[in-house]
Amino acid sequence: MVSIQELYAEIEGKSILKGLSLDVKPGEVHAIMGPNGSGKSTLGKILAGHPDYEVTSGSVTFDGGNLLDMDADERARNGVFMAFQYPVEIPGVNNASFLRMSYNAKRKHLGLPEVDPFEFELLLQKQSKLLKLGEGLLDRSVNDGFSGGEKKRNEILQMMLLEPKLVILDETDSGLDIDALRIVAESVNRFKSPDRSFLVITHYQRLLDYIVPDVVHVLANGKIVKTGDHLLVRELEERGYDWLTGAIPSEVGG
Amino acid sequence: MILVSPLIDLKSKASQKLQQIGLPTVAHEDWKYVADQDFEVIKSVSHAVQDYKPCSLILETEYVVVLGKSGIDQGRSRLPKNGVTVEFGDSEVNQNALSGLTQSDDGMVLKAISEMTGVLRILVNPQISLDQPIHIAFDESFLNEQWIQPVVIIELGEKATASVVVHPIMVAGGVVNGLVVVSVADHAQGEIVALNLEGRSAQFVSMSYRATLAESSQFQFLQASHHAGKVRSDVQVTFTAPHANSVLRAVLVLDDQDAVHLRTHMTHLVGECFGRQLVKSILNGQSVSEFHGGVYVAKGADLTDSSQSNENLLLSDQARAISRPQLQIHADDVKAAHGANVGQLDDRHIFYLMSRGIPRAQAEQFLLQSFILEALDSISMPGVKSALKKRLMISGEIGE
Amino acid sequence: MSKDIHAIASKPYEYGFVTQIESDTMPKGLTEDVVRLISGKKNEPEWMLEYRLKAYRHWLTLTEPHWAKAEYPKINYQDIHYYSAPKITEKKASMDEVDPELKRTFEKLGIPLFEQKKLAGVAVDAIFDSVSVATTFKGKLLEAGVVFCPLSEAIEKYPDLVKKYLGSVVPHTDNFYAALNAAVFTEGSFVFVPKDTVCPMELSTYFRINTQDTGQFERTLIICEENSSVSYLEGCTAPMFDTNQLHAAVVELIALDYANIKYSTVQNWYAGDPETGKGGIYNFVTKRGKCQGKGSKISWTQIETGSAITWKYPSCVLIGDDSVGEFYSVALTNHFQKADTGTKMIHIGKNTRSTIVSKGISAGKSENTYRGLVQINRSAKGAENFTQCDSMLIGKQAIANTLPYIDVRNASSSLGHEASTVKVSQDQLFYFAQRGISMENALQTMINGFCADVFKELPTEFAVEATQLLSLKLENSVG
Repeated sequence: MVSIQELYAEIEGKSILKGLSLDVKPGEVHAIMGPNGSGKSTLGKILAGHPDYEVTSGSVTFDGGNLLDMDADERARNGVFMAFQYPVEIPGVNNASFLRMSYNAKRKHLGLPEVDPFEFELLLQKQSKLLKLGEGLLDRSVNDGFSGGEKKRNEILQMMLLEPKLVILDETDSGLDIDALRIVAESVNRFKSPDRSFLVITHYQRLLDYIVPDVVHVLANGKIVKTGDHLLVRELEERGYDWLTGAIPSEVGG
Repeated sequence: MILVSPLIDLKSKASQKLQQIGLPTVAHEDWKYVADQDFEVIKSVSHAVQDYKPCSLILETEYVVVLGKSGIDQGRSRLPKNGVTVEFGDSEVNQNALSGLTQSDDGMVLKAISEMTGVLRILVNPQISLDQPIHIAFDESFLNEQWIQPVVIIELGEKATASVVVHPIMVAGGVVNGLVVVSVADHAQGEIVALNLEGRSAQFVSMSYRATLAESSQFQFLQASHHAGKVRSDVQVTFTAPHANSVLRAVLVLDDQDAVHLRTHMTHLVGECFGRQLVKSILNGQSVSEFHGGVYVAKGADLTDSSQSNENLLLSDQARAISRPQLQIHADDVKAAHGANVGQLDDRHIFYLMSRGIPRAQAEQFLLQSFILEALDSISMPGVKSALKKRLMISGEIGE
Repeated sequence: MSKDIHAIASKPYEYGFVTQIESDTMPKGLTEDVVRLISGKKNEPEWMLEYRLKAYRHWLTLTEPHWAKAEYPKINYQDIHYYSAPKITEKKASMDEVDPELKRTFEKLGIPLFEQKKLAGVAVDAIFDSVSVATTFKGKLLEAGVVFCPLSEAIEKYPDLVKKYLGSVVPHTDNFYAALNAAVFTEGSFVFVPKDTVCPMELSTYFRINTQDTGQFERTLIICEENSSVSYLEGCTAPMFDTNQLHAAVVELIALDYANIKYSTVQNWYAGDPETGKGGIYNFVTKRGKCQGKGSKISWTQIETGSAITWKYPSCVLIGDDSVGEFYSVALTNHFQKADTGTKMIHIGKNTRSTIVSKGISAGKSENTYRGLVQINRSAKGAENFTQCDSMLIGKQAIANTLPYIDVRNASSSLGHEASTVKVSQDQLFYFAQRGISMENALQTMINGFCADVFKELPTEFAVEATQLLSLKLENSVG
C-alpha cells in the first residue's frame, strides 16, 4: 500500500526524519510509537503533504504512484487520510458544507455524480449516529469551539465518509475520555478491510489496547530503531523508550 | 394664489447650514472625500447600467415602490394595501422628521434636504406586520441627471414590523446623494437591506441613513457592495430609549477601482441598549475599503453593550484596507469593544481543506464564501438573500 | 463598617515646590532676535543658528493644532520665557561644585546626581529649566565609547554627528510644536552608542521646569550604530503654578542595523489644581524613532501621569527589513486632565513587526484618548502588527476615547487590533473589602493587573516607582 524508502525531511532547515524506511501492506495495521520529539507526527504530516516540511531525499510510493509528487488535496482524493492530533478550528465555515464539499471532491475524482445537500444530510445522519456525534456539531463552524473529543470524532466522521485506502491516526487518543476512546476505536475497527491500511501514531499503549496492530515500530531520532509485533507494545509500556533510544548506535551499525 | 411648499423653510435652513460648512472634504472630515467641483462628468454610459436588473431580486409576491423623478410610478409599483401609507410629496408631516437634520454637520445630508423636490414617505401603522418586504426601486428617469437626491422617510409605528430593500439608482456619470431617515417606534422592528451594486457608472454614490430607535425597538441594517464604484455610505443609529437593539452589517466584495467608505455610528443617549457593527471586506484589484466605525456612549448611559468588528481579507497587493473603529465612552458601566483585523486566508485552514481532498482553488473560494456567509444569512428576506448569495458567491457550492 | 472610597488618603503633588535660585532669564517673547540670543547664549556655530532661523521662519507660517481631544485656549507665545538658566558663572570642573541649592532640589526629587549615590548604576543628565546642570558617569561611559552629554556640548564636540542626524527623524517642518522646538530648543541629551557596543548602564535624563512662565523646549537625540544597544529613561517634574507652562520637546532616535533602543518615560509634570483645573503643564511633544537598519528595534514605554494636557505620539518608522517597533503605554488622567496620546507605526521595510499595548485610565472629570496609526505600506511585504488598547473608567464623569487608524496596503501583511473597556465598580471594591482587602490595595491591585503588560517593559528600578505613582495619582477617584 505504502512504501517509504530512506526518507529524509526537514522543517526550516532543521532535520527531523533521518533515513526512515517503512512498508505497509494492504489490510495491515502498523503502530508508530516513540518518545516525544522523535518525528512521529512529522511522518504523518509529510505523508499528508503538509507544506511546511521539505523532503530532502528518499521516496514514498503509494498505491503504485509517487506520493511526493502530489499536492495535499490530490493525496487525499487518492486515498490518504490523516486524522489530525490538533484539528484546526475554522470559524465561520459551516461543518456540514465543508464535509459535503470534501465528499463531493472525492466523488468527482472517482467519476461519480456529486450528491445534493439533501442526500448528503441522510448520509451524514447515519454516520454521525454511529459516532454518537451530536447533530449540533454539523451546523456549527468546522471544529470551532468543539471539545477535544468532539474534534476527534469529527475527524473519524470524515474518515468514514471519505473511505480512504491509507488512514493515518495521529495521537487520536489524546483528549479523549475512555468512553469516547471506545467509540472511536470501534468505528476504526469496523472500518478495517483487506484493502485498507492503518498507520496509528501514538505515544501511549492505551489506543493500541483497542486497535490491535499487526506491526509495531519504534521511532527515535528520525528513524525506526525497533520493529516487532503487538507484544512490543507491552514491553514499551513496562520499560519505556530509553533502552531503545540508547540503542541507536548499534542499530545504525547493524 | 401662490402655493408655498411647507418644506421651503426646512430647505432654506439646510441650505444656510450647507453654506457654512460646505460639502465634506479632506480638510474637515478624515475619511477622504471629494468636493462638488471635483466631480467630473462622465459622458459615456457604462455597461453596468444595462447589467443591473433590480427586478431579478424582487419576488412576485413582494411589494415594490418604483420611484421616478416626478414621483411614484403607480403602474409599475405593487403597494401594500392595509395599514401602510406610501406617498410622494412635500407634506408638512415630513417637516418634523427632517427638521432635526437641518443642523446636521454633514454636507451631503444638508445638500439632499436643501435641494429635494419631494419626499417618499412610507408609514407602517402601529401593530402592522408586513409579511413581505417593500422594495424601493428607481426608474430610468434619473439616468442622465447630474445630481440624484432622493429623500426617503420610513416610519414604523408601535409594534410594527417591516423590511425594506433600497435598490441602487442607475445613472450615467451623475452623483447619487440619497438620504433615508428611519424612525422605529416602541417595540417595532425594522430591517433595511441597502444594495450597493453596479455603481461604477456613477461619479459617486453617497447614501446617508439616519435611524432613531425608541424603547425596545429593533433595527437591522445590511449593506452589500459589489461592483460598487466610488461609494460613501453613512449609517447612523441613535438610541433614545432603553432596551433597543441594533445590528449594522456590511459585506463589501470589491475589485478593480472600487472604493467604499463606510461610516457606521451608534449614539447611545440612554443606557441598556445593544449595538453591533460588523463589517467584512474582501479586497481585490486596486480596491479600497475604509471602515470608520463609531460608538458614542453619553454620560449616564450605563449598561450599554456596544461593539464593532471589522475584518478585511486583502487579496491583492494593490488593494488597501483602512479601518477606524472608534469608541467614545462617557459612562463608566459599559461594555464596549472593538476589533479589527487585516490579513489573508489562513494557510492552516487551506491545508486542512486540501487534506480532505478539496483542491486549493476551491478551498480558497469556499473560505471566502464562508467569510461573508454569516452576514448574508442574517437577511430575513429569502428572495434578496438567495439573490445576493448567488451574486457574491460565484461557485454556488455553499448555498442552501 | 463601610469605608467610602472617597476616604482613601489623598496625597498631593509632592514635587510642586519652587527652588529659590538666582536665574538668568530672558525677557518674555519670541522674535528672530530671541532665537539669535538663545543661539548666542549657547555659543553655537553658524550652521546651528541657520537651522534655528529656518525653523523659526517656518513656524511663523503654521497655525496651532487643535484637532486633539483636548481643547486649550490659544497660547500667547509672546508671554513665555524662552530661556531661563540657573546662574552659573562658569562650568564646574567637578560635580561637588554644583550649586548646593540645585543639589538639594534634585535630592528632594530623588535624583541621584552624584556618583557616590549610585542608584543601580544609572547615569543621569539633569536639566533645570533651559540648561543641563549635571551629567553623571560621563567618564565611565566614555571608556565604553558611549557619549552621553547635553546636546549643546554635542553641537560643540560632535558637530558632524549632530549635523547628520538632528532633524532627520523629526524635521522642523513636521508640525507646529516641532518647528517651535527647532527654533528655540535650549537643552536636551545627546547619546551616541558606537558600533558593536552595549551601553553598560541605564541612561537617564531628568527634566525640571522651575521658573514661572517658562517654556521648556528640550531636544533629545539618540543614535545607536550597528549591533549596539541602549536603554534610556526620562523623568519630569515641575513646580505648581496657576498659569500653564508649555513643554514642547522633540525626541529623535536612530537605530542602524541590528541596533536596539529602549526609551522609557515616567512623566509626572504638574497636572494643575485638582479642584479647579487651573495651571499645569501643556505637554506637546513629538517623539519619533527611525529603525533605519536591518533587524533594528525601537521600543517606547511611557507612563503618563502628569500634565494638564498631553499631546504625544511616540512613533516608529520601520525602514530596515525585519525591524521591530514597540509602544507600551499607561496614560492616567484624573481631575481635569486631558491626555490625547498614542503612537504611529509606519511599516516600510519587509517583514517589519510592531506591537502596541495601550492602557488608558481615566478618573475624575478627565478625558483620556488613545489615538494611533498603523500604516503598512505596499513595500512592507510580510509585515505584522498587533494592537491592544484598553480603557479603564473610574467614576461617572470620566471620558475614554479610542481612535485607531489602520491602513494596510499589501496582501501579505497581517494586523490585529483589539480594544476593550473595563470599569472599576464599587461592587468589585466591596468584594475585595469583604475578603479583607483595603480599598487602596484593591484599587492598586486592579490597576496593576490592568497595566501589567506595560509595567513589565519598564527597567526594574522604575517599575516600582511607576506603580506607586499611579496609585497616588488616583486619590479620591472612585465613587
